[in-house]
Amino acid sequence: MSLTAKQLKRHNRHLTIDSIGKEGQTIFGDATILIAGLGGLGCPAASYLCGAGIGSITLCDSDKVEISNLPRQTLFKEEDFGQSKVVVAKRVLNLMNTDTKITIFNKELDDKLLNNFYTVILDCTDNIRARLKLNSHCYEKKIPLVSASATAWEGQLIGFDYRHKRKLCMSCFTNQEHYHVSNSCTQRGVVNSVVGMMGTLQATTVLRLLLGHFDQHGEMIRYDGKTGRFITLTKKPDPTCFVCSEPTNQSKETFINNTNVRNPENDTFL
Amino acid sequence: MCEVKLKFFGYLSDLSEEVPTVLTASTPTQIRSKLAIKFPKLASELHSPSLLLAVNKILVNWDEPLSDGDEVAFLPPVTGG
Ligand SMILES: [Zn+2]
Repeated sequence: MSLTAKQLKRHNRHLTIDSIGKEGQTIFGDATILIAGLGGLGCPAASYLCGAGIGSITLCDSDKVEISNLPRQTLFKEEDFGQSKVVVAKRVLNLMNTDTKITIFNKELDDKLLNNFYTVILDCTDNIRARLKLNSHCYEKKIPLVSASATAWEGQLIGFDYRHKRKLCMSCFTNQEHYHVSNSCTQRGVVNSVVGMMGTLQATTVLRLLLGHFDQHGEMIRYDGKTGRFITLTKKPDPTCFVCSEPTNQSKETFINNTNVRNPENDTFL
Repeated sequence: MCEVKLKFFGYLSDLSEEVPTVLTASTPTQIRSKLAIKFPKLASELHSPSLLLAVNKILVNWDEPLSDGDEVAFLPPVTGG
């Protein structure tokens, strides 16, 4: 699609950047992004992607707005208590940019939702099962995945460009014992601006992926808000990985069963 | 045995203020065993299955052979969203 006169004005600050320009802005307008989880990561990510002129955003979260969400879940206000997060978010985002089509799923991540077409998927969830489900789907369908998380003062981001890279995936970074890790965010808390920054970094990573400037497949970026330092960690692909290596049928079956069952301890998006 | 540098991230750094920054060991497992003697609380945190371990900024397993001058980093899991 080409840009309207209103869009040329609205996105003037992007258009003047050589590496974006009209061509890049048009790519943003043609993109369809899934944001899984509308908590401290999903709120700023949705806000910036809607502002950036992404053509279509799908939001998925089954939760309602609670008072403890407000410090970091920037799309919600006190008057929204008890309302569905995705319903409130759609209303707020529609006020921001009527050109972005917002589709909402007021339920947990399921196969029906995943089977729609997405240009990039954002993992803004807070539990390993949902993360691994998104990972195996993105790997299989060759969809870029941008995963982030935050606990206490620390944030983490990993992007995977499964369109071009078939070795090293989110599952390589985990092990079976991860399934039993309970929600560290509730237990150890999270600094609002740290999780917000990670969500904003996810949005930036989406723009970079859309423009074809992404060369950090499987690099883990860690930010420590307490020391103010970033580090980048790398990893070799796991040769026994259920997703990106050749698994035995039995282990693959165990993996699929594990990712389908939701652990009740981990059922909120922070 | 090699002399390696230790780095602790996140809440692990709060538990490791007294820990020497340099230690001799041939694997990360050995580092953990050595720390258990004087720093049992830290060492028990290092047993967390989801803890990340990096040698020279590459994520590795606990049996990774170490070389002189390696920087061994321990990072708590970051899972919330
Ligand atoms: Zn893998």
